[in-house]
Amino acid sequence: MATEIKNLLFLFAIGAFTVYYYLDVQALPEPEERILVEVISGGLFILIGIRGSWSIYKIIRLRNDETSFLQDILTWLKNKQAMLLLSFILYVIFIPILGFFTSTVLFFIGINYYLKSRKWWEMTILPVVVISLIYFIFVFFLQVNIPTGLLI
Amino acid sequence: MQPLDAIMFLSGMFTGSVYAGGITAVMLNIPGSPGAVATTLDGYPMTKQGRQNEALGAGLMSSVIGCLASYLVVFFIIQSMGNFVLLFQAPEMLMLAVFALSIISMIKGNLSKSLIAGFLGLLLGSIGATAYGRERGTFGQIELYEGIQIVPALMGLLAISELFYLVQQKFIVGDNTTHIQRSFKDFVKGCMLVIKQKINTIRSIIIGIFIGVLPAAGATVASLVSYSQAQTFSKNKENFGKGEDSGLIAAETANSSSEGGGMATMLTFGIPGGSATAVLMAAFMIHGLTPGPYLIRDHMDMTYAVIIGNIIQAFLLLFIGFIFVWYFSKLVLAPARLIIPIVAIFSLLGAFSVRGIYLDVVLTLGFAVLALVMRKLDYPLIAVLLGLILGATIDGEMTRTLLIYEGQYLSLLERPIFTTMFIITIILFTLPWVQKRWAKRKQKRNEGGVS
Amino acid sequence: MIDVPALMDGLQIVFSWQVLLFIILGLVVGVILGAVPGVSGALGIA
Repeated sequence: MATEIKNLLFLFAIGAFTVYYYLDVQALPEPEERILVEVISGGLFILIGIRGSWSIYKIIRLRNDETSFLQDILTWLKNKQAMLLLSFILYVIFIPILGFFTSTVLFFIGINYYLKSRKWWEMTILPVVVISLIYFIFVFFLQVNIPTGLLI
Repeated sequence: MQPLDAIMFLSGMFTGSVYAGGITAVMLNIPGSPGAVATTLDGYPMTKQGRQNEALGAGLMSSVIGCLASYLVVFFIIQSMGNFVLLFQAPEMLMLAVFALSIISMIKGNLSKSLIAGFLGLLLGSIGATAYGRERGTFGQIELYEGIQIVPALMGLLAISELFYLVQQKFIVGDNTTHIQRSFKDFVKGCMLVIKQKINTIRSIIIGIFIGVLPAAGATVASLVSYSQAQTFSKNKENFGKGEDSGLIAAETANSSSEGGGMATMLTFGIPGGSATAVLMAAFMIHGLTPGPYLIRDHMDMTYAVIIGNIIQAFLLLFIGFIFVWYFSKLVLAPARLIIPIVAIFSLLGAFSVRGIYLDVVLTLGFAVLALVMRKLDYPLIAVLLGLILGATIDGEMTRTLLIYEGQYLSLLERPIFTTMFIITIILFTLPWVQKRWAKRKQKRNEGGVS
Repeated sequence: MIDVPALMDGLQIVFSWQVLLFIILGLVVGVILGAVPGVSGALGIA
């Protein structure tokens, strides 16, 4: 039952995005600009309807199921995947604040520490090597911009 | 630097990067280019099974043979290839893109989930400027005027999302590395697979060359169409997506052979097939050679030199490739705790380097979260990716077709290539469903007969 | 079909040690760049 609830929520999110996009394109004057989105939206609504109905049917049939949606979410939040996702989010947030190289070093050390690396060279030399490689490949060789922040 | 030296250096870089994109697709589930997306479908599962050497060997030989064959064909028919390209106009290009989408119906698992994912991908792929220059689906973000870039989507959907699963194990192949291939013989075995699967290889080469010559179609469509055809004609359909070597061979061969086709279009018409050939074209022009009909007419010796140079390149790739795959295959021995941060950093940086806009980094993360949710709920990522990649092409060609044939849509059926592809596409979309029903009926009949 | 004199000239241009060296160099650089996640062939060529 928990899986079907998650499925319904996902379908709801897709449906909401589709409705928003569909309404957004109605402002476009030319039919050729709207038709693709209208056709895809129509198809998506039908499929979401079919899939959503099936999920609702399964939820009703499995209402005495022992699985709990909230319990599943709480268990997942203590999972390594959730921590990794949090670390990615923090990394992306801090790059424009701390600068790319500073946040990369912190990210690298943080991930390694969380994943129980205790080798000193993995926490010190390796981040420096990675940053040097990034600098050489992207900045020196390819002359591509690196995201900037307040620090380096 | 002499013109040919520069052109061959850049062309070598292009060939090398196309091949290496297949290596990362196999080892890390990160396609180096959109053309290597189909390679991830079976290449990465082979690595997870510990068959990375076989996968790398098959990928290398597929790249070499694809590249070699395509340039040999181009060598003989470059001057008449133009007529074929001119037959493909907006309706045919539209049908080709829809034909490539038919792979969605062949994805194992729930068809409605595959279709939802595919439609979502198409919706996301349509975001950006319309053919009239107006914003569509940008939600007030001016950076989305050019649409969602493929690299951030690839990095998020495939590379970073895979890290969420890698974090739960010690190595790419699992919690230990006792079952991995370690011998050079496994590379050779992988190479021999390509030679043994003659029909698959030849079919993939033909698909790669003829789709590669079409501007804007290129390696992505070629590899996807080739992969879907390999699955259609395979006796091991059920194994596709789980480490089927013929899927990997079909994808990589078509990916590499489309290079020759794209080069032919660039040389003959001065029309680049993709971003890399566009840059190569600029390189030609910097050195005083303008690709197009005049290059063929006035500098045919240079044209032949480029083609022969690329044929030599294909042979050299075999030797250089063997050296590199030996080291790349050791990646399976690296602990996941080191691979995760390195892949994440390079993926996010790679997404940023496309346009230098930070929104692409945020989008990459967004796609990674989407992929995580979809994988938990058994929605196929490849369907979203296909829709995203082909969405822009379908939008552009559909707009052109509708404008040209306004009010006379039935006359589209007078175009033989369009009509043929239309019928084949419908068959391909419905075939898996028909095959399933047929198999169920046969099973019921057999069970009825037994009882 | 094949323009034989142009083909002979083309063969003469391409079979020099310089061109072969640049091909090898290009392949090596291309493979290294292509193996870095996020760096595509187009970026390297540009």
